[in-house]
Order: sequence, then structure tokens, then C-alpha cells
Amino acid sequence: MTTINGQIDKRLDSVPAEGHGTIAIRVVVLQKGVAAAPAPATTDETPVDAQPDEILPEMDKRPVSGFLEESKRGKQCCVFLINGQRQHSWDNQFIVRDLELKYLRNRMIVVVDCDGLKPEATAELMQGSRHQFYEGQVYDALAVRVVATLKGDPDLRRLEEEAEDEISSLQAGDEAVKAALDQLIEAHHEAAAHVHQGQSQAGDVSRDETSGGPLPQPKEVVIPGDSSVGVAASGPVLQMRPDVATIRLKPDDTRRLAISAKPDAAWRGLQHFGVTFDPPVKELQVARTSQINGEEVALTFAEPDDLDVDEYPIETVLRATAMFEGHPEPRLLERRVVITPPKIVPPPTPIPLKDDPTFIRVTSRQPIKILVGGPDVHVKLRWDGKDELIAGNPPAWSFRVTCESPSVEPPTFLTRPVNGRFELLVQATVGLKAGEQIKFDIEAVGPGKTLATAFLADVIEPPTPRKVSSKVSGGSQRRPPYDLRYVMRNGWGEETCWGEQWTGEDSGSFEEPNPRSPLTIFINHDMDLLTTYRDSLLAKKHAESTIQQRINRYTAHVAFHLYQMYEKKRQVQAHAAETVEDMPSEQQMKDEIRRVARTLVKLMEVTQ
Amino acid sequence: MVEPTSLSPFVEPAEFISSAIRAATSRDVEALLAQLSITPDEHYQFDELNPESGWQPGCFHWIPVGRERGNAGRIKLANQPVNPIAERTINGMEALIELARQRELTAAPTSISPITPRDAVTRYFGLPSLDQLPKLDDSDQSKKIRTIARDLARKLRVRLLWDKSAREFAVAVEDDGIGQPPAAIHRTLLSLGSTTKADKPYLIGVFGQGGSSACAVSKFSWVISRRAPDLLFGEPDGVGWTVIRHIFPKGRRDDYFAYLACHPDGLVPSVAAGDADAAGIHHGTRFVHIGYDFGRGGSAITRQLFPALNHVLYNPILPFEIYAARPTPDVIYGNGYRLSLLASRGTHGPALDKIFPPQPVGV
Repeated sequence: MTTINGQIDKRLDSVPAEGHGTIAIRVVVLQKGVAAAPAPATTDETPVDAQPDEILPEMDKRPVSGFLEESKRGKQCCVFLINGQRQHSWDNQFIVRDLELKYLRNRMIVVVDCDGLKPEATAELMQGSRHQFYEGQVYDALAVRVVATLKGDPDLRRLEEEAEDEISSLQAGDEAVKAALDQLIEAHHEAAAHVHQGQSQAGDVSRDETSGGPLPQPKEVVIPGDSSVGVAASGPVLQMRPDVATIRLKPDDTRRLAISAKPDAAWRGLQHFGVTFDPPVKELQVARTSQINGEEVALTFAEPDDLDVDEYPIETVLRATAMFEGHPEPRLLERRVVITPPKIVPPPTPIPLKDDPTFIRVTSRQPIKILVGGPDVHVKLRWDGKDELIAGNPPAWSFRVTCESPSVEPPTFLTRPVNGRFELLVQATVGLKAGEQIKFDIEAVGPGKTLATAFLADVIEPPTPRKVSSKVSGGSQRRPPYDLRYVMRNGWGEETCWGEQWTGEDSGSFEEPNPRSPLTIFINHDMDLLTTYRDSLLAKKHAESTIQQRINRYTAHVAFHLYQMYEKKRQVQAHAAETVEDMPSEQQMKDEIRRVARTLVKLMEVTQ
Repeated sequence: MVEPTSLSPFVEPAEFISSAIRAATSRDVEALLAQLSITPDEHYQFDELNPESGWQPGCFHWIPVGRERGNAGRIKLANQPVNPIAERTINGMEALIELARQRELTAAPTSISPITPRDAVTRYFGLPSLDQLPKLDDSDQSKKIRTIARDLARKLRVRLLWDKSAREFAVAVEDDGIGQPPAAIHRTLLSLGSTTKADKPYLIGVFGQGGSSACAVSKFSWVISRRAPDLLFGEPDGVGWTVIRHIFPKGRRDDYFAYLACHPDGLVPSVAAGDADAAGIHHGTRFVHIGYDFGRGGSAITRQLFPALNHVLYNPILPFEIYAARPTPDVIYGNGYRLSLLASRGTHGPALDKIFPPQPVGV
């Protein structure tokens, strides 16, 4: 008998006939550092058409490069196929901007099979030139569906969280370097005409002002912010140390945070202080310890034995509120909390699958939330029936989904079980209203037997900017925040060097800010030239402090140059329509910072 | 009544066709053409309504592809060098499917046609979507399916040829499909905008324009075709041959693409079945595009063609072989197959490989 080896492979049982037809989507995320098999027997051979003295281009080392039309060019990592032929493609900006999966951009491939579209829809898309689809109504509907399917996918979110998690574990830049970098940036802005603030340059004081959240009721609160947010207010604000945008937890590890007032002395006027989590996570243990100027909050996720790994990553929002004497508005501080599984997740004990299944259940973390106008919601399900029970024509077993909704019934789609696991995709269809609660019933119907499970889904509003009324005393912060990270040799495998792995030639890189993380500047602490320079200083018996001072100076200047490169890129992006060809490529930026680092090291060698 | 111009007054047909099928450079093609009496293009202006006007009996003439003087706009469709090759390859896949379909109809004239190209591939060759091949287990049935796929790939070949002295590329696309009888070549392989495929949902293209874009990026193209002997339906057996070139009329801006014809109605030169047998030409079609313009190229075309074709034909309905300027072939199953193949690399398999069910669009 022919069988298919186990992989995630989801297919639908029934297809509605309305609209433009159907598309099937395949998403593949490659392992980090794994390149595709090269073109057979061609990579080691000199091309027959090469000139004798021709310098052949390097092969790109990004994981997806072997699956692109041409490495380094044409980042066509999302392709649209008709009869298996690529007819349209998107580059990885779709992954970064639309799916918000920045750290998967060099590892992710999306294949959209358009064979299920109706002939008239295909005819509208296809052009005589065969050069991409016509970007009309059908195309727009196609794009919306691709984004809605992938944006809420829990597996993609988990992989993105894991990637973020690894980057957050890099060693942070030390204070001396940060101080020097701050000084350089401040000096830089002395002459600057304009400084952008806010989400585009998220950081320790500005990252959350527009990110919103499901507050139970609209209420004026005071948060730290800059002059672009809300109206002026007085009094203290809450602050957290260490100030991180996202609090990351591993099961059974404890993370300690100090929440205090700014200014510190205001804590003496505290009337009420509370810490809540939205949504509540019952396994999250919170230990609060009062201190003179604040409170220490220790978070521990106690993983229960029966926790299903499908529930990871678990996300919630820590919300600290405080009332201070003489100030009627509550003070609010919010941070995202992400609980991810330990690095090595033991494979789940396989449930023996049966010819006569006994249960079906929902394994997604509840409550399930459907965001109005948001992406599809993926609800994970499991049963103990053999996968082939729902194959065949007609199948021995079938699934039935019904829902009770006060308004419209959202379309739902079931994937085919693989090893007993499958998903229900719920579309956030037009007409759903925030505040509604929808009941979904899922039945597995077999010979003389019906298994059933159900869940409730809450329809919620999309995040909107919260009304705030204060800014940090002392005025706005002009220096856009950043996160400085050192990459050591043992971390060269991370693909944070302009999307590739690090080498001894690379000096640094940056990752642009997003709503969850600030501008991140990476410095290769073990770059070959820098290591040699450091060794030469040691050989000359320089004092430890002298060596540190010089290395710090180098690091601060490289970081500052990266900061300026980011600023330049942002300016070009702001005028992208007119100057798209001026946008520096990652390869150009990589070369530039290599040159700068080489110059700095050489300069230090000759001027010491 | 104009008689078709024959090759035999000028050349020995068997020898000529033997040389013609080896032409891989502009020099080779020019040498072939030099043996024939061809009316210069400035002496014969094709008139759609009266093609015999100005025709010189006993000579070959250049006739616009698709019998349409303004054909350049329909042929110059390529935006990247790899696309015309992919289009030609698709034509080859269709020829293999059509061969199977016509044989099915011969055996069972009322049989219903497959509804999609993939449906046809499943029916005639027993192949699943190629991206599923690596997921098959090691059973005998799976091995048989893989063997079928590999054997099918041998019936469709893409060759990249490089002439060192001329510094010139040629791209050949050869299929062992249904082929065309000589009298039908101008109405099928050299047509534009008219179609014999519209009522055949199991074929891919419709207007037959994609493949012709390869002519626009080549100095010369030539084609030979021979119909499968069991599907001649009364047509005489033989091999049709012609050359396609880009013509820039003096003093005019309407350049066009023309092929060598032996009759005002568009017939191409041909040789008899015996001469074709002597030259070892079997059924199928071979297009060779000479002086192929790979753009900036200059390096690594031989490297890039494999990934480029795998990307453009991401999950092709049939596999094919590519000879990238070397004597041994590689098989192209598409990137969909290559991605599935990663899973067999154990711990280095993909972190995620997920196929979503068909999603309704625009509801």
C-alpha cells in the first residue's frame, strides 16, 4: 500500500462554489543554516561561459536561496502557481510587513496554488505578457485570503517567537558602550532638523503608545510617552526594570521584574497597586514582594504535566496599574508576556490511534478570540481516530461543524487530520460584531457513533490607540531607543547578519524596529580583525582598562554608523515611491559596515 | 496554382535534414540556408489576403509567423531569459499528454477528456502531483511511480548548448510527444492567437504564444516535427523543418518574425518518412533557439538555469531533463518537489511544511 510519510498536510473536505474559486496554500519554513541541495554537479564546476579571469559570484547562504530563481536577486519567496507554473511572486517584504514574521523572512517559502480558481478569475489575472498577475479585484481578493490564512497561524507564530527568543538571549551591550553611543546619537541630533518618534522607533519609553490592547473600559490613564501622545499630565508614571518590550518565559523558570514609580520618591504616595494578566494564565505564578521604592514581581510558568505542546506559545499582557495620592487617573504599564516551550521539546507521547475513536477535543488555548476584520483563527483539535478514517470515498468518518452566532456565521474549514491532529480555521467574516460570543460544535460522525466537542469564541475589537493624557516629566526623549547586542563566535549561526549567518569578516548589522522590538544593533564581538587587534593589545601588555576603552570606542562607533545607516534607510523608505532604486540593499549595507569597521581598526592601530 | 517548393532540387533531403538537426550556431544555420534558393525578404512582402502575390515559384520565402505581419507585439513577451524556455517546456508537456489522449480516443472514441492537466497526468501516467513524490513510502508501488516519473522525464529534454568559438548559447527543447505532420506545422507550432486547444481542458496553454517568445530572444530558431505514426489520420508521414528569424524591413519600424515557407499558404519545407528514418528522427517536436540572449549572463548561466527553471516551473505537471552544457542530464521536478525532499533529510528537514486546505477566494 502506498502511504504518505508524516508531515503537516491539511486539506479540506468541502469547497463552497461561490466567489472566484479556491486557492490552496503551502508554507514551508526551513531550518536555520540549512541550505537546499545545490544544483546537481554544477556548483563545483566553472561555468562553461565564464571568461578565464572572471570572478564568479558567491553563492548566497540564506536557507531559501536554493529555492529562489536566482540567489541574491529576485527574492521570489512567495509564488503563485497555475498548473504548476509560477505566474506571480512576492518578495519577503510580504513576510515582514503583512505577516509580521520578521525573523522568518529568510527561511520561509509560500506556495499558492491557484488551480482551483474559476476560469474567468484566472483569465482576469493572467496577462498576455505573462509578467505577473493583473492587480485588480481578483488579485486583491487573492492577496487578502493569503494574508488572512497565514497571519494567525500558530505554527508560524511559534517559530517566530522561537527566533525572537534566540535573539533576545544574545549578550546585551555594556553600559559604557551604550553611554558612548548615546552621546554620539545626541550629538548627531543636535544638528538634526527633525526626529521621528513612536512606534517607528519603538523603545523603552515610546514603544507602546499606539499598540493598544483590550482594556475592559475606555478610561483615561497615564503612561509614559512623548509629546506626540495624548495630552499633558502631571504626576508619576510606572516604570519597569529591566525594561524589556516583551517578557519571555520558559516553563518553570522564574523571571524577576521591578516595577516602581518614576520619580522613585512618588512610590510613597501609592494608594493602590495591582498586577493583572489579560487573558489570565492559570499556570502563571506571580509572587509580589514589596520593596521600599516599588515592588518586585516574580513570574513563573509552572508547566502542568498534562499541558499540550500545541498550546505554546502562550501569550498574555502584564498590566500593572497604580493609583497615587493626589492624582485621579490610574497609572498604567503594560508589557507583552510570551511563554515558549523549552529549547528541546520532548516529542509528545503519541496517542494510540484507533479504528473506533473515543474522543475529540479542542487543544488550543482558550478563550478563543476572533478579531473583527482580523486573520483567520486557527483552532487546534485532536481525536484518537486513525487518519485514514476520514479518507476514502465515502469516508468511514466525517466531521461536522456548526455554530450558533447572534449575527453572521463565520465560514469554517477543517484540515485533514495528521496523526490525529487537525485544525479548524474560522474566518473573521464581515458582519461579526465585537462583544458577540459564538458557540462552535464539532462532531465526528462515524458508524453508529458520534463524538462531539465545543468551544466558545469571543469576538473582539481590533486594537486601537488608547487615550492617554500624560507624558514623562522632563519632556520627550529625543534619542530614539535601540537595543545593542553582541554576537559572539558561538552565536554566528544566528541569521541576524543582514539575514545571513555571521562570518569573521562581518562587523555588525541592524534589525529595524517593529511594534514589539526596538531598533536592534548587532555587533560582531569576535570579528577577525577585531580579535587580532585585541590580541595585539594584549601582546603589548596594555592595561585591561585601556583595552576595554579602545574596544568600547570601536564598538560605539560601529554601532553609531549602523544607527546612521538605519536612519538613511528610513529616509529612503519614506520616499520609496520616487527613489526605490536608491534603497540600499542588505549586501551593500553589509559591505559598507565591513569597510567602516576595517577603517576604524586600522585607524586605531596607527594612532595608538 | 503554386506548387510547394521542394528541397530536392537544391540538396539531398536525407543529408540536409541530418545536418539541420545538428545546427547549434548561427553559422550552422546560415550554412544550411545558403544551400537553398530563398527569395530575399525585401523582394517578397507577405499579403495576408493575397499571399501568392510576388511569390517566386521554385524558391523558399520568409512568411510572418502566424501569417501576421504585425506579430512582433505578440512574440516579444519575454521579460526574463528563463521564461521562454519554460513556455517551450510546457508545450512539450502538452505534446506528451496529447499523445496519450489521442491514443485513448483511438481506442475509445467516446471517452470523456480529463478535466485538468493534472487529471490527465494522473489518468495517463499514474503520477500524483510531483511535490508528493518525495512523500511516497518505499513500497513497490511507490517505487514504480518514481520510475514512471523518471522515465517520463526522459521524453522531454532541455539542452543548453555553448559554442566556445562563436561564444553563443543555444537552447533546445525536445519532446517525444505527438508531433505534427509537415502539413500542419504552420497551423499549430507556428500559429499565433489561433488555437486548437480551447476545447481541451487537459492542456495548459490556449493561444500558443508563450513558446514563440523564445524566438524573440534568439538570432535564429529552428523546428522539426514528426507526427506519431499511429496518429497520422491519413496525413502523409514525414518531417517538417523550418527556420525562424527576426526581420527588420529596410526603412520601416515594423519588425516582425518570419519562418521559411515552401508555399504561399504557409507550408514548411519537409522531407519524406524514409529520409527522416535515415536521419533517425522519431515522432515529437524539437525547437532549437540559437544565439539565445541570456542578458547580462556572462557567467554562471549553466549554474543558474537549474534553479531558475525549478522556480518558474515550481510544481510542473510533468518532470523533464536538463542538459546544462554537459553530457549528463539532471531531472527537474520543480521546487515543490525539492521542498518535499527536504523532509527526507532527517533532522535537517524543514521546521514546518504545512498545506492549508483550499480556501475560497472572494466570498
